[in-house]
Amino acid sequence: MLAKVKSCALFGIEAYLVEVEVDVGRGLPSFSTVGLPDAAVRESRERVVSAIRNSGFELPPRKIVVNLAPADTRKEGAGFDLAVAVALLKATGQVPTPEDSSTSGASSGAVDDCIFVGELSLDGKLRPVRGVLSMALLAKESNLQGMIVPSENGEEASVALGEKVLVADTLSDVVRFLRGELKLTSPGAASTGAVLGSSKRARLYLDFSEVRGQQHVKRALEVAAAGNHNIIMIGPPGSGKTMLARRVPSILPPLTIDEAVETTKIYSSAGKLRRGVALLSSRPFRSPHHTVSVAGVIGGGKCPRPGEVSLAHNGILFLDELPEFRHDVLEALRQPLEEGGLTVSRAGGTVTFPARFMLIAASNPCPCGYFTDELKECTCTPIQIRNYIARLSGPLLDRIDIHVFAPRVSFREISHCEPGESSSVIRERVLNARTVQLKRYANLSGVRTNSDLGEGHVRRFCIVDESGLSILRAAMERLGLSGRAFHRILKVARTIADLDDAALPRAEHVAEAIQYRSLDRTQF
Amino acid sequence: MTERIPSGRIGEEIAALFLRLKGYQVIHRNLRTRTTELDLVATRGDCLAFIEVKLRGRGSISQSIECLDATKRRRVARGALLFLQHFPSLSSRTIRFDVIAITCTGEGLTVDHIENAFAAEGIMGW
Repeated sequence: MLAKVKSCALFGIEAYLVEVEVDVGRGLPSFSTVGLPDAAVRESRERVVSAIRNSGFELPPRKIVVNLAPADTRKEGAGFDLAVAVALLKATGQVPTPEDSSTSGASSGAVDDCIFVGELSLDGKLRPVRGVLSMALLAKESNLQGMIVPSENGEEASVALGEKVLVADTLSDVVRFLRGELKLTSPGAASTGAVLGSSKRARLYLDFSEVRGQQHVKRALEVAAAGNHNIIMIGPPGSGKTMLARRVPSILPPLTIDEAVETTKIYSSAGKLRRGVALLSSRPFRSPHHTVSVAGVIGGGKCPRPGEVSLAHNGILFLDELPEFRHDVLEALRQPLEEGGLTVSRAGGTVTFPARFMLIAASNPCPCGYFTDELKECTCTPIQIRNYIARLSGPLLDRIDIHVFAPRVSFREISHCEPGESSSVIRERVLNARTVQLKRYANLSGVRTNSDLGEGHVRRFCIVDESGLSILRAAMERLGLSGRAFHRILKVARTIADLDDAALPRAEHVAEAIQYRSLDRTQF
Repeated sequence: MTERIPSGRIGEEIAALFLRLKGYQVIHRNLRTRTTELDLVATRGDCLAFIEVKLRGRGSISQSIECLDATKRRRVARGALLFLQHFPSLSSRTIRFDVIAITCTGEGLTVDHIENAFAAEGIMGW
């Protein structure tokens, strides 16, 4: 007897349909799985066989062949267990097949077009799997009738599929449903908006008012957040760089629904979605340690999995102690910084991951950390300092729009009782600036913020008046700024003008933008 | 063909008797070649069973079942394949690999019949 059941597999962060075909025939009893299964898929037969027996069903001594079509794609993961078990029970006549659905009535007709996803435990319980959101989106796209998933994955799947998702706890529940003896519940039509809204209230961010002093760094971070510019903070140890960076998510605009789905897909396929979270509601903040490998940052593995840059998609990638990162890691950041995504090629195939993030970097000015400090003396040699900074310079630094110094905080500032400006106030301004940008770039595809502007766009949107131009001219000549820096300055000036609600960047905006290019100055 | 040790013979006799009591018809005994080995071949209804007999004394270290390692399973499976080539008429039946474990205790014998004990695997071309 032959039986077919639909299931899903994950490749990168996208899902694709897999048809699980089971043939139960005569011959020496055996169980083989074909269709390029990896170890976890091949082992699934032990789980499936035990789960079927322990759920009170039978497995006759027959020659069993399981085919996972398309047969030429490498299958990964334990998500097929449920589909294989259901197909096996269908093939052995323990679950009604479409042919006898007319007699058994019930919902079998619809079930034939249903996706089964879930890992089985030996006692027949269903375990959650990775990437259910991507699979549910695929099911929606290909207009399938529904999807049966483990309870833990229910909410995640219903974000995309709504009421078409049915959840089950055990294999026998699924079988009883297919026989029409039991009704499976849907996790409830948790609409994406409601999910986003409900968790938004609960979240607790660190607040900018907790940081004393560093007014100009806060301002720079505000500008960076408003235009989605990449930023680097340079300063001695203890000046609050890390503290400030951790507070940036609190002034970023909330995730839109599309962004939330994109980011959740990545987390779901990486298996990093916390239990009970259906959709990420806050922007991700990733701060990998500086010993991270290239594969850890950009993604890797035989079947590539997303790395830190993709996990930071639509959020923040914070690189503390930037010069301590391995050279190849920093170089690998170039493509994602430029293109907002990256392509990883491995033995298992080539995968494109989205990676549009805001880079926040922090660094000391020299190995000992006290170069340019007012109180403590720097113990580094000039060559050490030069080498340290040289690690930063080059193509990577070119992609960072804003450079800002975070000097030592004075006693007067730190003992000051009055709290600084709160995040909600800053966020208000950032939101306004972002709205202005969204409106302005509404008919430009791929451009959402000022940082996305290309060279041609800069000419069109960042028109500076005569007084601004004269400041720029002076800056370029005296500070030795490059042509690239010129464009960066215009873009940042555009953002500052947006924060100021000015139609075009004026002289003071340009002047502020110029001071955010401190690393371009020749004397450093 | 080689000479078997007597205790194995005894175990086979017991297993055959046991099978007959269960309504099986033992059609072949102790079929062996250089690389394969079938202790008993029995039929009942639609079923064709290849039975491996394991005899263990009281003081033995391991349980009978554990004695059936992958190599042994392959020998039996290969034997079954060879058997079916000689008797193609039987190959349309439901084929099973069983183990009969006989344990000697002070009070007597315990016979344990494990149906469908393992699947054919690891044979060339499978």
